[in-house]
Amino acid sequence: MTDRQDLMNPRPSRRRLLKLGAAALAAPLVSRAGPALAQAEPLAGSGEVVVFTYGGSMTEGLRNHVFNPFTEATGIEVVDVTADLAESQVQAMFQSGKVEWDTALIRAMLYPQMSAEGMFADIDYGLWDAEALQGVPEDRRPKDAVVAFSPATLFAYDTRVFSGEVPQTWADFWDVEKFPGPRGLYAQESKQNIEAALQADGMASSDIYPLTDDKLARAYAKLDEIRPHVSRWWAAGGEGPQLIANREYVMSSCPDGRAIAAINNGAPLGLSWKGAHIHHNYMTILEGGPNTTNAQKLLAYINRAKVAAAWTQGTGFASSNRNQLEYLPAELSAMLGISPENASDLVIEDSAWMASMRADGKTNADYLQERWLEWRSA
Amino acid sequence: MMSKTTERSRFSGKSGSEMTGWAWLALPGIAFVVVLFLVPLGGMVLVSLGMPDWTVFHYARLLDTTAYLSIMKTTLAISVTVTALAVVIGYPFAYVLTTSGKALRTFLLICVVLPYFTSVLVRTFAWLVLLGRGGVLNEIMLGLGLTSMPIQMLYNRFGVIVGMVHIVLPMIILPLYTVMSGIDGRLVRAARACGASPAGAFVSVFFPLSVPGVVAGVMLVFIYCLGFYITPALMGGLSDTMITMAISSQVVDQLNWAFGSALSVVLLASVVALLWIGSRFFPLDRLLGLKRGLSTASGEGHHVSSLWLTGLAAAVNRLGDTGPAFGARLLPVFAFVVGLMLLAPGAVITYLSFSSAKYLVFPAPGFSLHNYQAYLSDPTWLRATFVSLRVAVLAGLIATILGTLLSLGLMRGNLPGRNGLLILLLTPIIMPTVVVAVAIYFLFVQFGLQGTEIGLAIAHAVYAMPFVVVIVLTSLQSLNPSLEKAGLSLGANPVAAFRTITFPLIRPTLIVAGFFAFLNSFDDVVYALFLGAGKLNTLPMRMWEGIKQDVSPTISAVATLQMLLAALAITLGSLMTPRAK
Repeated sequence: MTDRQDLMNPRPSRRRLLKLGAAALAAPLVSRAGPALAQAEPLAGSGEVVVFTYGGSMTEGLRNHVFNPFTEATGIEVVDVTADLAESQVQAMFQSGKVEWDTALIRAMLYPQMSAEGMFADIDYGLWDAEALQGVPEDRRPKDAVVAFSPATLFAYDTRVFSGEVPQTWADFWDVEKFPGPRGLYAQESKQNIEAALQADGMASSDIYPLTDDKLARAYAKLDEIRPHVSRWWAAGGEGPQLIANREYVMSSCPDGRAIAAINNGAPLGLSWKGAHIHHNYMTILEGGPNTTNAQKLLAYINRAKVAAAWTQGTGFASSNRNQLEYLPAELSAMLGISPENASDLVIEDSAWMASMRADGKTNADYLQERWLEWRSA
Repeated sequence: MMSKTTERSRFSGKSGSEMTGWAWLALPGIAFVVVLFLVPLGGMVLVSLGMPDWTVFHYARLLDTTAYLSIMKTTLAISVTVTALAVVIGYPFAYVLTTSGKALRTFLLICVVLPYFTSVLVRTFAWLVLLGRGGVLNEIMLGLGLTSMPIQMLYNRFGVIVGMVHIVLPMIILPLYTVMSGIDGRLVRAARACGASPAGAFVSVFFPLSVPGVVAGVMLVFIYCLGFYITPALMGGLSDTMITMAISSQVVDQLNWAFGSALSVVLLASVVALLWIGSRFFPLDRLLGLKRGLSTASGEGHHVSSLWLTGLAAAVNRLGDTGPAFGARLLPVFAFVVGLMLLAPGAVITYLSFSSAKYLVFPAPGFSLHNYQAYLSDPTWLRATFVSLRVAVLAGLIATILGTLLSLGLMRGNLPGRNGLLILLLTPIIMPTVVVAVAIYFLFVQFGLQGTEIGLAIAHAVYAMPFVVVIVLTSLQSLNPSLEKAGLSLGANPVAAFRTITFPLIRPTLIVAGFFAFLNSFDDVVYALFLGAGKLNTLPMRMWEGIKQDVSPTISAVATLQMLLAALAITLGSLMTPRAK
């Protein structure tokens, strides 16, 4: 039965941080910040809070860098719950009336509809430090959620094949004359491919959403063009870097976390952040959860700049507070999507548009998926 | 004094129309499936109809696009091909398994079962090493001058079929093996004594007796294939899309449970209809050996097919001894080669587990034990291992006990509507697991079973029951009822007769069935993820996390240790079980 699972959802990887470990030690000792503040800690409390994370090295990293310091600082114990994805479980708990978790990570595409159904409690921003309110941009903290991190899909190329002039834009990715060789694109979802195709067709990253029918037609025409040159439509996040290393691809789209992890392990990859896809991953407090007050305190705590930096170091995926950059080692921040240089030209998924209902009763996301199924099975 | 008919039906339920006391044995199993599967299924149907705002929109929208129809066609095409290949490879393999000596048999059993113990993503990497453009096989063929350029064997339909056949083979081989082991060798020898050639005796005697095993295996494999999703995604091309992928995406990525349910209901209805129509022409209960009456309406068809078989046997007989006998001697070689092929990915994984590289790469740059150290020094890995073991043992016990009772009840209880009951029992493996998991969750919440090991074991048992029932049924039918009758006539009470005569005879089958149930549970991720409610962390979940987040080579060590344990268990079992005949 292992055969039946969702494959994508790029995950934070702590492995890539191993190399940066030494640099991280040179940074301020974030995890020791807790006890020093203990007497004056406004978030102090008691009891526990049940926190959802994606398991594996992410949970382990957060435990060491964020949750244990939180317990030291506030006296509140953190109970881990882990699964592959949270949304369907959250919906099931909400519908059955037995909400057993306090917080959950929610993908942007599903956030609007779940929020509209009242699954999330409003965030108590009154508990937040002034610094945190200033450091986390307002568009990343709606009334009932805070962006925890923002995974990207960018493209990587084989530096053994392209060394002088390297592919930099999606137009280069489509240019099989100038940069010959087999390519890789994602098979399970279309939005990343559509965004890439439109940019290859000359559209500016800011003009992509909303994806009207004429834009979709343009995108699919462009995808028809590249289809014969895609030797493998990948399904699991690690495939892109892996298949480049094994010379099955010369370039491929891939999740940023997996590409950076591969580079840190010595894989011969170059990256292009230009026109990369980004979507948010929200941390929410579940309505009707067992320890809502403690959950509010946890969110207030993890969005402090120093703790945000610890989150980024513990998971490899950058959290939202922009002030964290001063606490991060330069080599690490240079590889992240929050570095100003990398962030200059990104396509941020318009999740509100994705979740909104069309005239025929389907959401835009649902409709996009159906068109994709039609195209790929043809 | 009892009439002869009721006397007979007490043992086999072959004739007469009234139910017998044996029927009660089926009750717990049927109740189990009804409560844990049919009730949640009913809820799902309501959801697909938009409850409480009733609508057929979620069904009507299927017609908006050709996507689902073509996905369904692809799913069927792949499932039929894989099933056919599984029969063609599995039948002779099982035959060798039955007729070979202990050493070869143990080796072949290990070859069949080990693929189950390798996590799907590592296994896929092993296939890349073997079949990729720069893979071992292509290198060999280029080196020998058989081809002039690498052959594309992955990322197309061929890759999907290789990957799937590799996993489904145990599902056809083990039922065939249990049935073939039950065939009385004296019958074949009698045919030989009457002048049949070895091949003639095979076609006229052995093959007809093994048909229940073929039917059982084909059903299990075909239905199981419909639920595949990851292997096609990892080894196939863009258009090798299977229906479970579309359903899973609706449930997990769109949170559109109404449409996901509608798709599942349509899938279930199509498969049940297919089985139902099939059972009109090929009565399942008869083919599985539940009923052998020749005087019923379809007796004529049966007669025609036996005539056809007799004709075939006569034709084969005329071929004489030489050709087919030569073929028969090649069979063990064939099975041995197939066995090696089944082992190949596992061998690659074992090799990689000793690699010193920090990620999966072939060939290994050097060797070290760091993957084993990572596994053994991490308490989360060890904890997960014990959770998985406890859940799988419990699930195996529940499924085997209830499934065996149910099979006995079906076999001897003379229950009406057995074809329908059988199809009903198969439904838990027809439905995509992700949908069943969500549906069962709502039931479990009522009893606080979500997030508990017992709850997960119960859910796994529901899934494993069809496998147990089909395997036990096919083996019960080949049991000679006169043995138990003899015991009774010598004064044993029915319980004692069952315990001392029938049970020892079917014990090997129960071990196979229990092993299956154990494996299915031990390997599951989907139920564990959902019904675990975040609180349970099983070994496959831990492996899944490891591979999704880190491309962690630790899992190659875990997979190798699992394979080693499984191989040890099989070898020990084989040493301890005396040859049945």
